[in-house]
Amino acid sequence: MNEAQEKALQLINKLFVYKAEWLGHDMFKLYTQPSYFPEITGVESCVLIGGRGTGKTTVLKGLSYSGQYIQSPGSIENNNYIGIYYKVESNKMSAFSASGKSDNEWIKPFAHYVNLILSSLIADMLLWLDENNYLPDINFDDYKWKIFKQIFGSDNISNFTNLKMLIQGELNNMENYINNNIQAPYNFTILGGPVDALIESLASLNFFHNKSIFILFDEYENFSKYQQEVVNTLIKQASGKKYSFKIGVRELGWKSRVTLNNQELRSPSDYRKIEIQSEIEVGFEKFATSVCEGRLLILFKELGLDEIPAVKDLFLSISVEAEAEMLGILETVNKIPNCKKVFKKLPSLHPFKIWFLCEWLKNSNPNEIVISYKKDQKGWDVRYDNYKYAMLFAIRDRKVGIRKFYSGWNTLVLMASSNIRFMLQLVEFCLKIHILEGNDINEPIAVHNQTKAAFNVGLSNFEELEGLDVNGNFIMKLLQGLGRIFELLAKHPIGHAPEVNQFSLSEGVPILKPRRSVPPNLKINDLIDLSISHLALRRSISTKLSQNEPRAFDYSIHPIYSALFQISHRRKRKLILNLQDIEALINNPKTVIEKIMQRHNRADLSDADIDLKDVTSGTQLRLFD
Amino acid sequence: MDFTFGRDLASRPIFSESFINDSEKIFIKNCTHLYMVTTEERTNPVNSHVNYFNVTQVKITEESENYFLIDFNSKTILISLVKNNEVQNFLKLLDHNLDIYLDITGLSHHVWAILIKEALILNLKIKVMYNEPSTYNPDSIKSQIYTLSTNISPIKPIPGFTVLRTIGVSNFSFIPLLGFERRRFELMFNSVDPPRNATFPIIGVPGFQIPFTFETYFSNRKKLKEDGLWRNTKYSAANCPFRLFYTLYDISKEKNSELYKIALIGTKPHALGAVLFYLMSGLTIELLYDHPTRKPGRSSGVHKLHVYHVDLFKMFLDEKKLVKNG
Repeated sequence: MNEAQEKALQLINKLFVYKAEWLGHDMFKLYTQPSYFPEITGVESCVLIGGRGTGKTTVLKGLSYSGQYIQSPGSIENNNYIGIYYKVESNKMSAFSASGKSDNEWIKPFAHYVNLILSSLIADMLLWLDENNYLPDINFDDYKWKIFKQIFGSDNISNFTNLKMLIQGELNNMENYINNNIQAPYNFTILGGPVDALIESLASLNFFHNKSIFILFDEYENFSKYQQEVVNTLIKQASGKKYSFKIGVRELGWKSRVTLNNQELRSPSDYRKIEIQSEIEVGFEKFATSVCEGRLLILFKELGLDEIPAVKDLFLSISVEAEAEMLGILETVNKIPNCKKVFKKLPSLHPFKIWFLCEWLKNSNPNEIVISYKKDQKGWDVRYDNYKYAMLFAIRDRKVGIRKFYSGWNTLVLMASSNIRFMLQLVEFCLKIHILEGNDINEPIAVHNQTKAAFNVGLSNFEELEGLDVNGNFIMKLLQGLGRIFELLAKHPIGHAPEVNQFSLSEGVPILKPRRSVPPNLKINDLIDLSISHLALRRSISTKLSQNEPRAFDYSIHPIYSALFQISHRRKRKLILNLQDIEALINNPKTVIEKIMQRHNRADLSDADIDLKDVTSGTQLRLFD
Repeated sequence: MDFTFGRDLASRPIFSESFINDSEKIFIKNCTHLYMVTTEERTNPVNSHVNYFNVTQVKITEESENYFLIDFNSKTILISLVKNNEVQNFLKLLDHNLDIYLDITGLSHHVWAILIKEALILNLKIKVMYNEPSTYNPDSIKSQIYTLSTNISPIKPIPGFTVLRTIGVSNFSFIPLLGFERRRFELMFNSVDPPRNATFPIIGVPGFQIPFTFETYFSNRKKLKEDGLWRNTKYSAANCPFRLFYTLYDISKEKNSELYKIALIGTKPHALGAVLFYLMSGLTIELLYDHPTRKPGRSSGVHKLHVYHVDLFKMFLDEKKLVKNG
């Protein structure tokens, strides 16, 4: 590797970091505002729902006072809001559970701790504002401070350091209570009391005129159900006050939408719901292009290159026929005697179409095939158009290596499925492979290199699943089993519905009776929800409902895994599975896959076909170990 | 930090005694011996090479999330882990003139950690015993995969070691004490989401046995390589809590952080070192633990026995604090 290539790789590592947490302050240099940004800066509470990598943390940190200051120091004064950011820490929240107490008994201590967290964060903000001379008119003797002082029984607040120390002392007391005796009597504050009092005390300050305080809670899923109900209550109570909540939560991570009084939080009266996936789906291509081109611009400039190709020119795409050629269709046609003969008689047809005709009319002789085609040319053209994409997966049926190419900017955007982290990963891997193969950075990235990148991004995310959740190993098993089913269906498309890559859940008769519950403390429904939450699966409102489909959702493997399992990245047709099938898929994959294949008229598959291969090993496409 | 250490060995004394099974006989006398027997051979005093004389044996018969049961004076006593006075009251029942030998080999972290904490608060003469296994058993003969836990739980503080006073601290260091189980490291890492330049994985070098170091590297290689974490790796003898203490001290000198999050996913002596660091360093430490269920038959045999004189170590640190504070 030459020096220029090494420099390019280092820059790619730096520029395509895809986790807000790792970027630190640099995150705002590369920040592109999502289309929903104006919505979240309104005074009402908002809940941002999206999988990991959809940019929740970046947006929330961007609203915090430190984020605002880094982006534009003047915005602290000019914006009509100021935000305090808090990432919910599971290690702390889990201290308020079990230990011989019921959830109900934990509500008061937890509500008190939430009060302390918010008071502490507000105190930090005030200290910072004071240090930066934003609060010259502070007066702690103002009567408005009285209530707050009373709550904590202290008259000694004469500056922000005192305030911080007072709250810190309360936190220490709370820590001692949890560590030493949770049965002991304790003087808990009422939910929201100190926060209201503290924010009220600030109301007369010039800085806070016409300014709302945004409480930015990230990773809301780290609260347990009862804890979310406590915070939901605060959200409900905040309506009409000087503060509101902006919540970032993973899909299906919002475990309860009710308050402690069992009142439901309603959108839009109590909060505005922003589902990132659907909010940015329409404009995602544009957003992804803007984010990636921004980074590519810096990369090319740093490498001394003036001309920056458009992403569509950098990430080459190919037609279906060209892809068939790359997959060796001519060789295949020449190897099959019938195909060869038909090709001689219809030389103007593309060999891929010839192969399609011969596969479709497998039991006919070459003359019959040619006659059939000539008799209904239009009909065959329509059929070919409908099936040709699906047929690509069958060309290299049992061969090793690449069996389908995944390339072109539009394909990569679809594989990322509105997830900016996946998008950045795909671009990063493409660029790295491109350079490692000895290419110049400004040359278009070859189709096979994009495919290798797509495979490795899928593999990397697949391997990561185990470490994302304590039940991650079961998510992996589920994904692998489903991946194998759809891969087998894709490899054998002739005579069947093309591109089957979704499923719906029915409560029909299971294929196999499950041998045991997997795992014992996890329901299969919850496992599916977890898989969606961790972006192994995707869920969408079902388009076709029937009596046999009581669940109104369709499920599919997240398209980021399509190159790994060699299935279509486009959401197309579906099959029906039931929960017990899925459970059996984890316990006894080979048998259940065999049965599913039989049910879908692929009974002629061999044992080797059915065998659940280890997607993580022994592949020529794997780049990194 | 209430004390400083020089780099030389003399400034960093080790308060351990180690004995190799069968080659040496050790005698423990006039003390209280607390232990628990599990399915692992090394947890049973019968398999150890210790000769006990005039020793009060206190057997812990059951552990749960919130309590443990002991057989004491022919009675079974339930001791709550969430009320420190119960642990203290139990320790007060023991003869304070005698040493307490707490064998942590068969005990879960959440039980032995609070016993040590309260014993040190009461200034008891507490020694910790630990038996290394002859080997850990991989999933299959040819496998290098070790499933030592049948179940891992979400991270939850060890009773008595909860830290609530640090709110939204972004200037923290993450120190995972690595073991064989890749999944536990990855789960911890993903849960903590630490800054990469403030993550310091610690690997046991030397390991209990020579190959164990390589097994640790092999098992955790993906994360170590993927995030470039190998650059920050530190080494500390797998069977020595005191060396681990000094390693943690060195890290805290290298990386000045408001908070140190230490993940207890490696050896028990390392976990003990981290607990001592929590109790005695004066720094803000958060111990991260995933409460695994240990797999039956995860290890075989008994190799070395260690006795860690944590009471003497505390005295040593107290003296250093006195010197520093004049």
